[in-house]
Amino acid sequence: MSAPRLAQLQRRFQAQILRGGGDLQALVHGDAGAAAEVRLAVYTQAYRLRLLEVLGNDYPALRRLLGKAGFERAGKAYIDAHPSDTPSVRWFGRHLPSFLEQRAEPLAAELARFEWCKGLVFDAPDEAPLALSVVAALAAAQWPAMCLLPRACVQRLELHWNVPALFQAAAGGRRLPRPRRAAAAVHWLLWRDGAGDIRWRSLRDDEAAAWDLAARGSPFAAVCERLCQWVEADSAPLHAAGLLKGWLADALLAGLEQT
Amino acid sequence: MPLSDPPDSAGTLGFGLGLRPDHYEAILAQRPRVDWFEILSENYMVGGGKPLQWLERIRADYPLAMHGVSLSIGGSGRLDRAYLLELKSLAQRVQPEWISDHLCWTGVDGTNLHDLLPLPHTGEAVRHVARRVRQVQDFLGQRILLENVSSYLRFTHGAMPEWEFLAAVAEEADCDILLDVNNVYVNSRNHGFAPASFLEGIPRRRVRQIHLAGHSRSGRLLIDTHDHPVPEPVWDLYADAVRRFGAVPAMIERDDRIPPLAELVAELDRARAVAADALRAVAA
Repeated sequence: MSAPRLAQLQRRFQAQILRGGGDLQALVHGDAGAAAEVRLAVYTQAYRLRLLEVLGNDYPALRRLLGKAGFERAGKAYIDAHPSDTPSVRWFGRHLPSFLEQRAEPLAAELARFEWCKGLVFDAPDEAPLALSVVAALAAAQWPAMCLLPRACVQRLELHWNVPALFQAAAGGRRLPRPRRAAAAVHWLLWRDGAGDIRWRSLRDDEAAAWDLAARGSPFAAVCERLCQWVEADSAPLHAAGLLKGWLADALLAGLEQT
Repeated sequence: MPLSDPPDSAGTLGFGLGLRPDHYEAILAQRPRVDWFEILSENYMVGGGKPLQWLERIRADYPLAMHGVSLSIGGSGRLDRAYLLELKSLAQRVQPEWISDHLCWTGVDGTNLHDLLPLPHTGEAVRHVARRVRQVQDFLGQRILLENVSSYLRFTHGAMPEWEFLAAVAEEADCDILLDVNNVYVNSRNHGFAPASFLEGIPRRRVRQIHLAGHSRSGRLLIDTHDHPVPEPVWDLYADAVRRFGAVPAMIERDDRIPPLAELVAELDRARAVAADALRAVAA
């Protein structure tokens, strides 16, 4: 076999790691220490083991839920379906929630989505939380056109299953609670508090609707209008102000912007 | 573009450790006898959060070197410009003593295998890698260090031994060398050469940093796992390296089965002692 050019050699090597088969061993020295096939196998086997370890680090609760064998099965299928395309292994597992969804594993998919969101919260860009004093200094006339800017670390999720409870039990090394599916999705917020620790809490329908509207850049007047679905029109501004106070206390906002 | 020497070109930085999250708190609480830390660049290429906060607090007290695993300097595709931009941005933030990566490739055609894959030791590969190193150095505005990797196979069309390949790349690219003594030992056992030949084949003036680490065995091959203390044969080879290359900054890498910080600091004291003995022997 003639010597391949570098690009050709690398494509063949990569294909053998990703899909197996191939004939690269013909280009590899074998000796009494180890045959060419054994030497190549160090790389082909290490590939899946390494990425499984990465997935295990990113999805520890999912690993508990599925068990070692189940997690390996799902992980290996994912590794084969989604070769990494980013320099940092940090992003390798980002498609796992949707991959599990496509495999009709809704509970596993939701738990994976929760864990991935937690990771996004963990290393999202830093932004100082908006101070209550800034909001308090606004004149009443400024409020209707005011937009709220969420911090980059805030994530929103809709979950049917009790995955935050499953996650907490797994993180604490406790027995996992029985998986339960609610009739309607529960709204969740995840974020990093002022000390940099990850928090999450559920939202009622009215708060979720108000937050989603505000986070999309709608002015405060539109948020108040949306809340009229749950409270009288006269009470909507006060109700919105109450929600805003909670968002400020939770360090969910980065700033304000006048439209 | 003229390239700057790393700030510690006189080799005064001393003895360092790989910075690992397991040790963040202990480092700040104990201020251990560690002269500098080496960070894994990719771990800090994130938007924000605690990793960068820890890094900045430790940076305030210790010099840092940046060590990457994803440059894929030997890859046959295009250099990843987005990655280089992130690397440069991190370097601006960290102000490292130097930036290093590995003499290997990690994937082609947009795929990343997240492994340090071996290159054929050919003239074509020397020219290819050297051209890319020059591009990277021009982009970063400084000379980089390339590390010799552990390998488990050699290609039949290789035209030169590994040390000749490494030296040729360094000379043609005008880059420096991060000499991993454990990798030299692992490869000497896996491929059947005398480790002394490797050391003798590396130009003295190119070696700016030394790595020390442990390995494990799989069948008849040694695997670079970084999950054990530095073993005796690697200490012996480190002494040989100090006799040849002098007081080059050295550090210990540990990536798995990470022990308490005090254990690694004690291991680093042994590195200090081995280096001091070797330098005394040279002086005598």
